[in-house]
Amino acid sequence: MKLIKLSILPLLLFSLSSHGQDIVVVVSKANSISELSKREVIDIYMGRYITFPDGKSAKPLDLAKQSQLKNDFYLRLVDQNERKINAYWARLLFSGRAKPPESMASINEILSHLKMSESAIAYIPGSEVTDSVKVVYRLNEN
Amino acid sequence: MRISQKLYVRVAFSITIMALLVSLITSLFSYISGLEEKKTTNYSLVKQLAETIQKTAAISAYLVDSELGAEITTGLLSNDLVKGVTLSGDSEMLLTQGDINNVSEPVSIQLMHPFIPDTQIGILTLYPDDIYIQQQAQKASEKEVLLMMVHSIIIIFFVSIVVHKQLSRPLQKLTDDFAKIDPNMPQTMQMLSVKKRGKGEISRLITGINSLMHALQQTIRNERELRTKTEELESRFRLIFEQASAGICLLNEQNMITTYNPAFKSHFLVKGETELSSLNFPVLLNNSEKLQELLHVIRDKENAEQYTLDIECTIGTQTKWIHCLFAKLSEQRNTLRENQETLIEVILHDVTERAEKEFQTRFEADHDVLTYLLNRRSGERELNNALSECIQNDRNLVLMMIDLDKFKPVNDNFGHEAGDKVLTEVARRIKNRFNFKTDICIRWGGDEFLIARQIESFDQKQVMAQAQQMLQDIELPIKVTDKNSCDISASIGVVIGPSHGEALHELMVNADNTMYQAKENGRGQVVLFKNK
Repeated sequence: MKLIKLSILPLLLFSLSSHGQDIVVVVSKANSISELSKREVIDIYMGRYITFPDGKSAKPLDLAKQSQLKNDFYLRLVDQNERKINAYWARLLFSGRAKPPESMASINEILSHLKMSESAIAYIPGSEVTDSVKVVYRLNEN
Repeated sequence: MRISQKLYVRVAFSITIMALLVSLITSLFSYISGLEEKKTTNYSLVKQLAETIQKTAAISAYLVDSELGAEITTGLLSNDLVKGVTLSGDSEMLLTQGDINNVSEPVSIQLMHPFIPDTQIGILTLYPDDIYIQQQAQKASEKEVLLMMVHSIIIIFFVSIVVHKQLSRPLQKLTDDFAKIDPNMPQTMQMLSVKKRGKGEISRLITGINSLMHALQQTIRNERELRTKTEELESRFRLIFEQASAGICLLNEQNMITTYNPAFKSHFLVKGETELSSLNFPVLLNNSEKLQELLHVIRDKENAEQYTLDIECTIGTQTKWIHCLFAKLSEQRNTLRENQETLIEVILHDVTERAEKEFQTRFEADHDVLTYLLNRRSGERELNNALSECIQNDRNLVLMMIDLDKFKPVNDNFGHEAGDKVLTEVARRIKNRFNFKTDICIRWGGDEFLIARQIESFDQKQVMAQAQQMLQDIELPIKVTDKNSCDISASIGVVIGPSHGEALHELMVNADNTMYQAKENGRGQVVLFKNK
């Protein structure tokens, strides 16, 4: 019980702190995709498709566990918290082809990855958007 | 007599049949309803199964992940209830496993998009294994039926035991005990044993039988005693009836003999015959017409009196005198039967001997021993009767007083025997001439005779002629011994009653005087009384 309490408390703090913050889905500037629908983002992130709608391979990037941003992202995208998303992937771990998005340690690592890979797609806070990335979908606070 | 087998078996058999019937019907119902129930249960189980895997299936459909789908469908198929599975996504059929044909009611559930609410992403269809379900249901029902049968059999077994113990065995015992009883032998009618604390129907039945038997025994005993007494009495009465010296018979309305005893028969049996000549009672006796009248009178009389009568009868060649006592039999019962015959009882004795003796005695009392004519005493009585009869009927009575003449010398010369012979012969000659029924011939004294005859009207000539003829008869010689005969004469005085005297003694005096007149006139003549 203590453990659960300890784990829940920082989450609440984070969510409070992230209140009002925009999260944007970005791709490399080199990617031809200019915009994605919410469904397309979901399909890419939840492992349904491994390509962009134009057929080019898509490689979603994720944040490490227990990141406030990650939690917020999934809540806004599919209305499920990180734990549920983890459970979803765990369910698919031993059977199924779908693979969870690759985890990145930080926003910077994501950004650098985006610069290098044309197929990469990631979510970052709106405040972190740079010139090297292209916003294809914006997750506003509900 | 074995009752238990039958009853015991019958009860058990009936229970068995009933139990089996009920079991079968119940089983049938339970089978049908069980089948339906099982089917429903299994369908809902299938549905639950589908719902269990719904989420994963939805994910697999979402991801169009055949591997995951295969895992799901294989998992589902491993369930006995499921025969076939179809997992289909939005656009294309993902997977089909097992047999999906010939299924009546496939169970389908919608697969919802795992991330976008209210969006269907596919359908999971499970095809339940109807045959398996049916088999399951059947098995369950069979088990139930079997259980019920076993149940029934156990119940039958115990019911049979209980019936045997509580009903058949006591009944058997009762029957066996009862069979020992022979109604013809009251001593076998012992009390049937009954359980002391028994309060059941059988115990009460036994008690009832016992009391009934007790009463019956009593009744039978009483009746036997009564019968013995009656028989004894009957035999005594019979003895009396059979052995009675008096003849006894019963006459019905037609005077026919209905019952008679041996003595009666012996009285009327003609020698050499074995049966009575007639059963008509009056016919058996002389003067049957008068007897019939008498019987008629007896019947008509209100008060039952007894009549005794001496009756003459002729049996074969024998003449008997029978003393009969007639009594009307009165019914001893309170209510007389309608049209009841009046029976007459006749008790009779053979009184021939006595009657004959009586006749003899009377004859001897009334008659002269020597001449057999009436003696003076009875003669006087007869004369009195005849005289009053003649006065009544306006007739005449002729009296002839006869006195023998010269009788004494006969006695003296030839002895008394010769004298007696003379008297006897004279008497015979008198009787010979005066032989009418109403004629009265009397030996009046030693050698005096008196004759009386009733005549319609007095004719002097005729009377005198008769007297003369009588005199002539007397005057004929009489043989007194082998060698000797004697001639005697008589003086006859004739009087006519009631012209010559209304009273007998007056007539007698006149007759006497007239006779003496004849003697005075010279004897050997007839003189008629003349009024002075």
